[in-house]
Amino acid sequence: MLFYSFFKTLVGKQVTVELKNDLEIRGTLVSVDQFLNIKLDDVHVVDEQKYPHMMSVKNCFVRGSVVRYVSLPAQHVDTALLQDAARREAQAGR
Amino acid sequence: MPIHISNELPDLLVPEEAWRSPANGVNGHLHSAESTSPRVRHLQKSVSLLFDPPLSSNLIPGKGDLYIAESQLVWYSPEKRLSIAIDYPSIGIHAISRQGDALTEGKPHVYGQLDSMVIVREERTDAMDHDGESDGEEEQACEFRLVPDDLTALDAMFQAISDCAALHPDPDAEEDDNEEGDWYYTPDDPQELNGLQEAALQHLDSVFEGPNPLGNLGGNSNPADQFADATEDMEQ
Repeated sequence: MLFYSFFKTLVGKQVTVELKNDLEIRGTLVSVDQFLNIKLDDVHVVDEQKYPHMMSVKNCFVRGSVVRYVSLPAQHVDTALLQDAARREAQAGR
Repeated sequence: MPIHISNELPDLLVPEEAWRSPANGVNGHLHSAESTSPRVRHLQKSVSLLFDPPLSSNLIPGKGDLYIAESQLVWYSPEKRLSIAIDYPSIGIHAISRQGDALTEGKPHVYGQLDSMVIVREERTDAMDHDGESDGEEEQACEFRLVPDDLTALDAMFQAISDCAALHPDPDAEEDDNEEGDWYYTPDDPQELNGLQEAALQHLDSVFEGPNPLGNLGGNSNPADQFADATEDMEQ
């Protein structure tokens, strides 16, 4: 729930999604759902040499379960707020 | 999370509008209203299905009809009596390729990536009987491409596949939640929360969804909904 809320604050921002199969996709975050399925627009594959066939892809839907990392734009992340929210969610779970 | 290959189109419930549309003929295999069969969100006639690598040397799908059903992504060729059904959880990513690529001869298409492919052959065609490898299950990484004759349908196809994929959350994700349940509680139903948890969750929603201290909102698909409160706050 925390990450779902958190990712929603990044809608419209540039993120890089790294998949468990090593494919890295950079694009504008369009939407995220509670399963952390991620929709991206204006997509670029980071390593175009390795995945030339993905160059023409512009909109994509990434299944939450295949995501390894999401790289976030640092200037759009309020780490103090995130830390506070994480602490509160952990407390609420006790 | 396999691909199911058979000779029959699975029972599917095609929505009324698809029946009425002259572009979508009526298929004898399909049920109408009262059926409990899985609902089809989008029916796209005349779609080429390409697998890379190919499923097998003597199984080239070619052109058929695409049923984006809530249960599975089903492609069926009445001429070949060949049905290929893909479970949504096996589709790692799907995307719209606007410019196409070499495999589709430059035609725009819906691209999909299957992380690990297990093929289940339910009813074999004659061709497959001669394929020595067809027994049992095979596993390999795989991509597929869906090229509709009607290229204006790409966005609707992409949206329908996205919607249906979201109906099938990964079973592993739920297990993870249970394992972490001792300290990290994420109920889907707000009624399961006790008072303290509810208060904490409301706080979370308020800090994340309230006015963004950094400004620069936008890009949301439904800004009117999400930021309705924020606008009110600013006016006050």
